Amino acid sequence: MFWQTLVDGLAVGSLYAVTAIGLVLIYKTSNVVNFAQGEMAMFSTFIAYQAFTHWAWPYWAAVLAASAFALVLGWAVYWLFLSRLSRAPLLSQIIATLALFLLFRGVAGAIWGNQPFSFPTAVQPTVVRFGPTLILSTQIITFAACLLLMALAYALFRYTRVGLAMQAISQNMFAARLMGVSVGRVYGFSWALSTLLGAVAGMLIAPTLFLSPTFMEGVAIRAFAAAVVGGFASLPGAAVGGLLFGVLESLFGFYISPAFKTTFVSLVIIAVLYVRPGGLFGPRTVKKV
Amino acid sequence: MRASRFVSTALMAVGTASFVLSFSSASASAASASQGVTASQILIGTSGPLTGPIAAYGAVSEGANAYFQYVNDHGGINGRKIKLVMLDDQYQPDLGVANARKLVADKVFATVSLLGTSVVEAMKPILLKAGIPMTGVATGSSQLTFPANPNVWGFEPSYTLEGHLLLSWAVHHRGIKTIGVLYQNDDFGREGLAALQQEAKTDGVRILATASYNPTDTDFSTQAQTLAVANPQAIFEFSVPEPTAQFMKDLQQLGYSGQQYVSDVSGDPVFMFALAGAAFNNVYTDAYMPALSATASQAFVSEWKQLYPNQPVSQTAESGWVEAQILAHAIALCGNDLTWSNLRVQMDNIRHWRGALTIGPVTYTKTFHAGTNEIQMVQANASTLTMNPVSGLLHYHEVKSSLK
Repeated sequence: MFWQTLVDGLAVGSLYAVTAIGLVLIYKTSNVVNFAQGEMAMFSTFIAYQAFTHWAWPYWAAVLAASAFALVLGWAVYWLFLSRLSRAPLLSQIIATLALFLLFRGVAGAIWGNQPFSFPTAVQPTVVRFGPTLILSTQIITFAACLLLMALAYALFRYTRVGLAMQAISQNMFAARLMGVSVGRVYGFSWALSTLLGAVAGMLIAPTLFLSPTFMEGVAIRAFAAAVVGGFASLPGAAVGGLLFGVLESLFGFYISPAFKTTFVSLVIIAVLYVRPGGLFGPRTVKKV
Repeated sequence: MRASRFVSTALMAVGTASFVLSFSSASASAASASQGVTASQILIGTSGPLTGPIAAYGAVSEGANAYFQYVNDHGGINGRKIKLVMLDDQYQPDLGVANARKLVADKVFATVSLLGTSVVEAMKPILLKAGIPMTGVATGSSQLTFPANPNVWGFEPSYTLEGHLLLSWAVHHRGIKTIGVLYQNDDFGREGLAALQQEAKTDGVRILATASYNPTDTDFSTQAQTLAVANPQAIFEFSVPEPTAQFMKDLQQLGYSGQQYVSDVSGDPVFMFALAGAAFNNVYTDAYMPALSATASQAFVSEWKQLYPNQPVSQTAESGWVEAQILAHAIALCGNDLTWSNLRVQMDNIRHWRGALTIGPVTYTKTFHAGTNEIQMVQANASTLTMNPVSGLLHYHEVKSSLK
């Protein structure tokens, strides 16, 4: 039973991880914590739902359309709202993302309604048996897709020119600009990419949580916690944080108490931050005396 | 008393539509009236989750609204049209409190279909202090109706009675000896669990496993595993629709093949088949309203489609319609003496009334404010996407005897 619990935890944890990576990506480049991350993912997932259910597109076409929409949405949100506030205090920018949170939720409710909808899976869920442990084909796809996205995001940040520009901006925006980096373009790119990551997580989790304007709420909160535990500025940290959250929730829920699993994991996070205030993968703050 | 009984019997015979018409011709010269009542209008208030996480239940207030529209289109009650103030509380007690204050300020005559145990509990002191009668509260929490508060009337079967009845029926008619329980970790779920535990003791049933969840959880596979491993003959679920549907899908994937019994909270075939698909097939629940396909439901169905064409026709909406029917009936019985004290008298005098869209008759007394006395066991059928009756009428107050 232990392995079964572990598998279920990893499957759901990988979704927290992808959402957390989206958060970290924006934070790393612009220091903005995007509270609308979950709602932008929800909105993109609704686009896939619209294409699949109302326009009768094939599943993969709907997913591609929603992914393209997510890229445009992220870019548009940056250009329409965040870039106008680039001179405003950081807190105002963060509050603006809270306003976007309410905006997307309200608009989605007005267009599609507030009741939950069922959302299709990539493949027909079939059960694969490893001894007593059951793994669903959908869980495997979810996990593989998340690993792939995490690896891509990491490689992009580490080995490409855009990634280098993102790093440069996060370290020193003015110096980066003087070196010829187009700051606005890089910010826009990171918003687009982050929204795409969120949208993929949304489409992977919608079959289980059911699609509604509020369905990403629980995931987004756990993704925040995962990002914090990972250090908030570290991509591998966010990934590990998300997986850890999923696995701990699952193990605690099965062996001790399902009612208190989220409470317990939150306590673990507080304990981690108590010992390592910068998170597991965050910088160690050393005070020079 | 005698007169009102007579009226009630007469209404029973002629049916809802015609009674509204017959009363509308009566003169509206107000003899006496409480707040919210004028010669041409009665102001009623409601609050429900029109948006937010469980907005699917917003259909309850809208169902009540649909019935009042229907009444108004047929001339109103005693010449008065009903105006419904519909507020949104998003299933949050603090917003409920704000809405209660708004309804007091608006001077509504009565409320109908307030929804959700914790929201109603939060609104109750404010409304009762202002003296406003609360009719048809849309929750099965027995703490609202047992013991009866003179100014609060419930309607849905209480979770305690549901728990006793579901298990008792499963034991006597499906030979169940071992069970597992999934319950929501709050007053709703715990009331159901307590009833099941008590009934299990009476019937000699063993509870092999229980698992709870929080409404904000995102993953229910651990609960499904806990119960599937224990492998009871039947699993009972006191849970709200989305987690229930997800739990059922997980159970199906784990290969669980026993029976499942759900509270009627998660018994709406429209929502449940849309969410859980085939995993909802053969699930048992109890019903207190006729199926949407029944002839009796057609007035509701056509009014709903006209008023809310973009929303699914559901039993959730139907329950709001029924709660509005009962209030409208009591208002009609008040005649021209439309005061709070007379409304209380008329509500408590409703006995075995068959004019509402319910399976069994509606009854209230001074000490019994739960409304429904009778329900029926129904089972989900995936090929017709409906709930089909599998028992006759079961009486709450004599669960044992009616079952034997």
